[in-house]
Amino acid sequence: MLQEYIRKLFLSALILLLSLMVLTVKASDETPERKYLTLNGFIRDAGSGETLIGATVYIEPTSGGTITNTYGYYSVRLYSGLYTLTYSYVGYEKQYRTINMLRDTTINVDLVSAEQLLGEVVVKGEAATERISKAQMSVNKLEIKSIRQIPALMGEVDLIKAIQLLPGVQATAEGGSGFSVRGGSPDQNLILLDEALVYNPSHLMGFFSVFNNDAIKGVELYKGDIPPMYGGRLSSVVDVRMNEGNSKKFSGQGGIGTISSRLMIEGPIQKDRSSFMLAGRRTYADLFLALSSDEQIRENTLYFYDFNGKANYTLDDKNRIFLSGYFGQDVFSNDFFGLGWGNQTFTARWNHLFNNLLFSNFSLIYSRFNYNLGVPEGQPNAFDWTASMKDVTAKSDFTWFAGINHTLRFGVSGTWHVFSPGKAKGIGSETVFNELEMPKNRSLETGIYLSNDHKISERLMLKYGLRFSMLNNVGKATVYTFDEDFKRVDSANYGTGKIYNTYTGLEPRISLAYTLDEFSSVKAAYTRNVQYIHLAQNSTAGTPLDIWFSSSPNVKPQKGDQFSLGYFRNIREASLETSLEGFYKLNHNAIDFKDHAELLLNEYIEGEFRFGKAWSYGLELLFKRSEGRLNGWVSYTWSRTFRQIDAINNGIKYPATYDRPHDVSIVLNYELSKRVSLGANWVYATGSAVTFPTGRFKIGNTIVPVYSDRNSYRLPDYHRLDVSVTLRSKEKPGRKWQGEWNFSAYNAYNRKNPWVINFQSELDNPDVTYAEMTYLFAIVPSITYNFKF
Amino acid sequence: MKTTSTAVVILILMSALFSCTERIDIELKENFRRIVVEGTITSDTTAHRVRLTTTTNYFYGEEPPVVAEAIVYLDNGNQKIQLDETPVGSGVYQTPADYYGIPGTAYQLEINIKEPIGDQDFFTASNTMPETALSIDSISLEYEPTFEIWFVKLYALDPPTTDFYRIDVQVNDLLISDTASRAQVTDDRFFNGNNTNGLTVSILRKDEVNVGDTVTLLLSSITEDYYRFFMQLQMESGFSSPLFSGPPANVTSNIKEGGLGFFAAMGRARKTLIVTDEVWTNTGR
Repeated sequence: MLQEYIRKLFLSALILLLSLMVLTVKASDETPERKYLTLNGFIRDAGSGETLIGATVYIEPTSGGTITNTYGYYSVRLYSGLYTLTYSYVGYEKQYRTINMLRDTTINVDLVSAEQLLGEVVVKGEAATERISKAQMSVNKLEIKSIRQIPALMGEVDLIKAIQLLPGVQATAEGGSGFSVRGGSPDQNLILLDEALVYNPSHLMGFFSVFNNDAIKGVELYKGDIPPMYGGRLSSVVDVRMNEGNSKKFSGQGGIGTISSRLMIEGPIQKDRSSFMLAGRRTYADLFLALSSDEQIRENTLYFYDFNGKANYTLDDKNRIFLSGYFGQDVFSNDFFGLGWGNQTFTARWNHLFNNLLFSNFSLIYSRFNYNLGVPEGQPNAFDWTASMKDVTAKSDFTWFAGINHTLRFGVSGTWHVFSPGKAKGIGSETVFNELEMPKNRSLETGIYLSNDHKISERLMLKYGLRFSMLNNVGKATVYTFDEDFKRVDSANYGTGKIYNTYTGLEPRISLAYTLDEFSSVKAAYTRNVQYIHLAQNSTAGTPLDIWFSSSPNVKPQKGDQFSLGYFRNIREASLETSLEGFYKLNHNAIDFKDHAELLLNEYIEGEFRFGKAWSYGLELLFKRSEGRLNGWVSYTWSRTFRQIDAINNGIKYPATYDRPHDVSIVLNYELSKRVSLGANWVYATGSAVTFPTGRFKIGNTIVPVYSDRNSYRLPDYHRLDVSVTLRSKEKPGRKWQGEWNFSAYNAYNRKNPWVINFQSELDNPDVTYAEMTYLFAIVPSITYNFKF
Repeated sequence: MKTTSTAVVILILMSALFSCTERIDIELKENFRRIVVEGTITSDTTAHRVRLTTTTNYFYGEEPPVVAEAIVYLDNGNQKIQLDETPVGSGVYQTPADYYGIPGTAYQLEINIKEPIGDQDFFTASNTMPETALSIDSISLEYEPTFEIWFVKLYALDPPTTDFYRIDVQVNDLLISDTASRAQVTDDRFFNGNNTNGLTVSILRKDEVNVGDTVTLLLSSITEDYYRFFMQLQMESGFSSPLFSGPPANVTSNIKEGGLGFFAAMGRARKTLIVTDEVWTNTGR
């Protein structure tokens, strides 16, 4: 009944909104003398033919403009007349066009990157005014070029580690790939690689991420004000795009590093029409194990590899097809046990221009994460354990450049989730183990959305939209009923294909930007997000042994409300972009786990969940310089994050583990000369909140700690400096090969940052107890040779 | 559970490849004092013991203070007996030496103490000895040269009911499994109703077994509550790592009125293996 009511309510709201938009669109002042015309086109890199995402078109005398979408396409409506157009993109030389608009016009622009300009080290550019006037806040964009300049652990350029340096983002554990955005849990980040969900972005316990920098074009991180086209996660969207491949000429790049080697090749299939990109990476950490004096360590196999592939075909002016895929695997094994995990994604996309004003994209996406663990046959208690999470998604997105003051976006998506939380069985003929299989979990997650970028006046930009989302739990399933003490009291069985539970969510997303002057603006946003699938993990660093579960009769969807307010200013003389943002975020139905929860291979896992609320608030200050010899950013975040769950900490609020009030990141790159550049980053964060014992008792000869309040202690503050020097080879005319040496040091002043503090007993006298810290990385120097041809 | 603990071992080994440890000084707040009860009634005929101590601050460095001169009763539903503090002042209260527990019986413990602890001077606890029919066919030893350890293997038939077990090992008269990390508890999910068929249930160090020794395996059937208590004891006293450990939390207890520890009733079977020259040769040592 209630759901029916909500559905009707939603439909009426949608119809109302649509008619409002159509009305506002129609009500504009078009007259026979002042006719609307369309200016559109693609903006590309002149060297590679690669489309540029977020490139700016500045239109005078309108003192406004537009930016390209994720496919490099732009479209804007103008009255007939004379205009000066400025096409620009960070790190590229600007181009100017003067046009007399008499009819609809298509202008494709190829921008020349600063690297290709002879005799010039850097291009000094204006800071984009688009950043000031657009009704979009809480977003950070990183180009792969700037990510490459950040010194990295063992020289492995890592997109996730770069994201962790942005304001409002916290690594959940040293060296890990997990991160918390504005106090959210790591499972509240929607990590997309060419639109495909990446369930677990980590390699080698998270020390490295699955994103091979050679295959990546760039990333956008939405920390709040998440556009309605994205759904399903509360805290953030990490939208990673792969390179499309050079459509002009065959080329490649790669590197030989301390722990891995990489190679990427790209080239045209048909010049200027289609191209491909193939990239691979493999580590050889196991070679270092061979140097160990310990025989047991020597006999281990430990490596990971990944492949990225992409191809695109331009069928005609209106149709373009993209195919992309990722395949990665981690392997750790020896004679006694084995552990492996990996992600596989595949995306097929079709860009279609219905006309110059209606841009569309249709996608089919497959995504899978799986792991296996076991003791090989022949060993005592040999077993094999496998688990997987699988998604198939179909979606379509439309952008309608409806009028001078309106851009409408709308679309639908549906994802079929199949989670296999675990199957364990003994192996060998003499096995003592029964097969144990956790029931599969199937659900359908759907969403439709509509939004409008609405220019109210030259100063005021509004973006409003609504997303309607729904989750259907689909049989076959056994659903257990739990009483208020989380004891199992009943169960119900549902047949194959039966929809036994439905949740719906209305997600309004509103933001506005008010331009104060040419250089500054204030912005505000309110967004609601609903999350239907969650990760059962209560450790901070996280292992590959992920178990995702969907909302169900026992688990309500998580809902998040976020309010943000910000001041944005460009300081033109210094090419500085600055921003100050404040946020308050409330997470309803936050999920936590009972004390000593059993999350692995537990058929009754829903009885281990506890529910409550989580909230966080904070201020983020950012100074960023994208151009010039000295570039990079300085950010400071002050924030707090709390949770309150009835069954945990006696129902009293406690700080979340990743509540780290003060957080500073300084990321700098200095071009010393054309051939030498220096990089450094320094991070500082208040130690994470931890629980320490306040007493102890003894059972047998075992000392057992007694705890008081959860997370009432702090680890020592975290800080670390990484540095790097890059030396480029001399450029010689006619030589295609370009090489560079990169020398870096992670944790340059050898700070011992505790990863964990354990309380231990002395072996020969258990009554004597002591605290012991474990730290991961002392100073880690590395050398990488990178090349391009 | 075996499989999950193997997973944990694998992850510890992986993280050990990258980490270093170092002792540090940390100041800890003090908690209020609580009573700690450690009592076990088994199906063996012996003097069963209940030990009363108190909590201390974490870096206390000595044996915990005992709670002496308490009045402790054990009630099996038919008969309520007082346990004697032997020796006086030791905080250890014992049944007569001819006492034995009977499977299926609910045991209740009542403790009156002289000086209140945490405003309480009366504590109770109860536990029912599981009815699991226990019998061990045999045990064997196998030597593992790489890690220089002995596997103790169990051959026994598990009944079709859901059962929980504790496994202890004695070499000659010495109880090897006197710490939480050396004793094992397990449920029967992976072998329910089957013969355990040589399941490795305990591990001994190289030098703990020699020719001529008597190795005794004690198999106790325990309640689910005790199984959870002991799992938590292992978790909280063991090494924790951000990779797999959840947030630390207090070990549950079945002592009412704010006590800590556990009062357990468990049925017990045992099997002995004398390490003769022939056995020694067959182990692969």
